[in-house]
Amino acid sequence: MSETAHPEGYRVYYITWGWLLVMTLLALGVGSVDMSGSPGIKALLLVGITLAKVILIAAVFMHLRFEKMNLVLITFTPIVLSLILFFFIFPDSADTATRTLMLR
Amino acid sequence: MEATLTDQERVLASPWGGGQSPFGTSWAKFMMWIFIVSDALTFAAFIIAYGFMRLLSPEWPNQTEIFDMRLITFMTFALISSSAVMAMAVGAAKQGKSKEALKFILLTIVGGTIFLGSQVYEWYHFIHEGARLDVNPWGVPQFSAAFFVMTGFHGFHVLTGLLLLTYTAIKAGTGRYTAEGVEIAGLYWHFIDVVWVFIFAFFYLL
Repeated sequence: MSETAHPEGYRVYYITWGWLLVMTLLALGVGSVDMSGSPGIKALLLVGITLAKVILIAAVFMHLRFEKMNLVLITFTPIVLSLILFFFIFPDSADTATRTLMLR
Repeated sequence: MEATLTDQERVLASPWGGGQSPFGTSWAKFMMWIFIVSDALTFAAFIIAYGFMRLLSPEWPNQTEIFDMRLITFMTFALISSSAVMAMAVGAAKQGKSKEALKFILLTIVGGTIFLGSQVYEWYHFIHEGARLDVNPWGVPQFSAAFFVMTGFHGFHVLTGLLLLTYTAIKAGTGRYTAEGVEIAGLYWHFIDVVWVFIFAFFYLL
């Protein structure tokens, strides 16, 4: 039983490993393309690939898919904080007074 | 009175009533998760601060002209591979295959050491060319600050992870390990991988 369970047990890790490497190459490709005309699209693509990689690592390698939902929800805390920081602070980066203060 | 008792009984029988973990994990594993979340908050603050500085700066150096992207990609591959091997170590430990678990943990240590060695090489190169925490030969000083703070903090985590893995390997080698101990060390190692995925995309590629 354990003889057959053994390769099957690691198979999911090999597949995830492969996908992570493919997505790393994909991100590298997106990063090397000159998108100076549309930096927003480049950022969006990289955020998408990064989140896909993170979800894969968390779900498969960190076994979050087998954990209870309340533990899974706790792991969302940093993402919520990041969104708050992003939407509350980033608009200030376009502010002339802030620019003058930070870059003098 | 009877209704109150029924309420109390219902609370005690619920997952939050005490005597059992509402999160369905042991305390040790749950504490590692809490640590990971708090540590992720720190890294989130670093990455947001870097993004803010970058938007604020009138110009930003082209990373591909400063860094050897082949080395960065190689480092990323090494860390992702070590993370995959660590997941296998946890799988082996849970099946009670201590020799196999030890082999995978040692491979993880090799991957982590390659990553850390490459990072030391990158830092040496960067400093050798004149970069300091507040000095950047290629433009705005915020670039150097972001590089040293983010990769330095991450590198320190890799070093800590390697020490934890070495300790786990010694315990596995002497037969004094538990599957949960390997799993907790694995959680920390995967978290390091997750942080690098963000740094790789937002600092080196964007």
